[in-house]
Amino acid sequence: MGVMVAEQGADRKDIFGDLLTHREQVFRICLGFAKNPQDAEELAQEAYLKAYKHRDSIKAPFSAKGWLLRIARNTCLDHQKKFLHIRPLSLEEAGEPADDCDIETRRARNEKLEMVKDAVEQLPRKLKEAFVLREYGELTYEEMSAALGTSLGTIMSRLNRARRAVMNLVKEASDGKRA
Amino acid sequence: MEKEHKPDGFGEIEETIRGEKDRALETFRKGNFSARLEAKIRQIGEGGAPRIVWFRKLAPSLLGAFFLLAAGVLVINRIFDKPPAKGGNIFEVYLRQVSGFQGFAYDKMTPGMILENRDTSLAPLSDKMIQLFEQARKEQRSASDLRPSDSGTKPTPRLTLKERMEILFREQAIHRFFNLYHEKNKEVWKWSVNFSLYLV
Repeated sequence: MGVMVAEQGADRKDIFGDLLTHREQVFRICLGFAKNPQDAEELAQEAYLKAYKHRDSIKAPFSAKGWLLRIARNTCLDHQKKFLHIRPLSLEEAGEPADDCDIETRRARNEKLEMVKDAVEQLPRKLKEAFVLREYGELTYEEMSAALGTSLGTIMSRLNRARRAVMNLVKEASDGKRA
Repeated sequence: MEKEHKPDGFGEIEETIRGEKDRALETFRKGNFSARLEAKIRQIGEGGAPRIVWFRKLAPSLLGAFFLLAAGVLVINRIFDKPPAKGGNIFEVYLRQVSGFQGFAYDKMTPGMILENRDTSLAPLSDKMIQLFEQARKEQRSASDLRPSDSGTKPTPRLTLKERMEILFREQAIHRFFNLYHEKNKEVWKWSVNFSLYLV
């Protein structure tokens, strides 16, 4: 019996080790919900800690990835609810790493990105999670269906509406800036 | 990734998002995500946290149960602070301890004496009991009249007057106990009267 428990414990550790291979995907999902990469990394850490604490509830290794992505999504949504009143740091405030672009190009790029991120943030919760899981997390429709617990048709419809909404919001913001 | 229809003009937004992801991932890969996570996990302690969570969840319920139990024990101790004598009725023991109680003298009493000396606060109950006895006696009499003399069945034992008075007086003794206790707790008194009437 003791040996079986020890084996189960070892299995859990292995499963958790396997989950770490998805850390970039988890980070990308968090990036979709967060305003900057630093916050996204903190959220990813929090999601992994939650997963570690509840690792005993993993029923089967093949479903572990979906379970982890659900934890990541819930962590980000909880975080947004908790810190709704706090304005997150913008990309420039957060100190975006320097690259080989000139200052003007970088400013234009950041402006565009801020518009996209603001638009995503304004989306209703269900559209937002569909958009982030697909565009940032790069999940397949099946994975999204498992993570959100909805049908493929619903996922596709939400995604389409989310993309259109983001486009319209970005267009509005860009027109407003020009005017 | 599946081929899908995307709205016209979405490519620019997609490009912006791809650029953001690439730059962020570059920084992420340079960082030490796993090492930081490992340090945090070590801080929590192997399997320690869930036990604390369990304790935190159970603590209020356990505390509540403990207080209820303690309150119950206190109330019981307050009511029955002395244990009953071995083989004795708890009411009898209590009544013997109460000053002014005369004891069970029903052997020397006649039905008339009981009616004269009865407690007026118990009048409805004793009246009801007397009525009940009368009714039972009548029924018994009529039953014995109807019963064939040699039916082979065992005849119903008839209660003597002494036995009937004994039952009646026991009931009154119980009610006197509740009557004495009435000063302390009116609710108990009401309950006992209602309960006795229900039994009758």
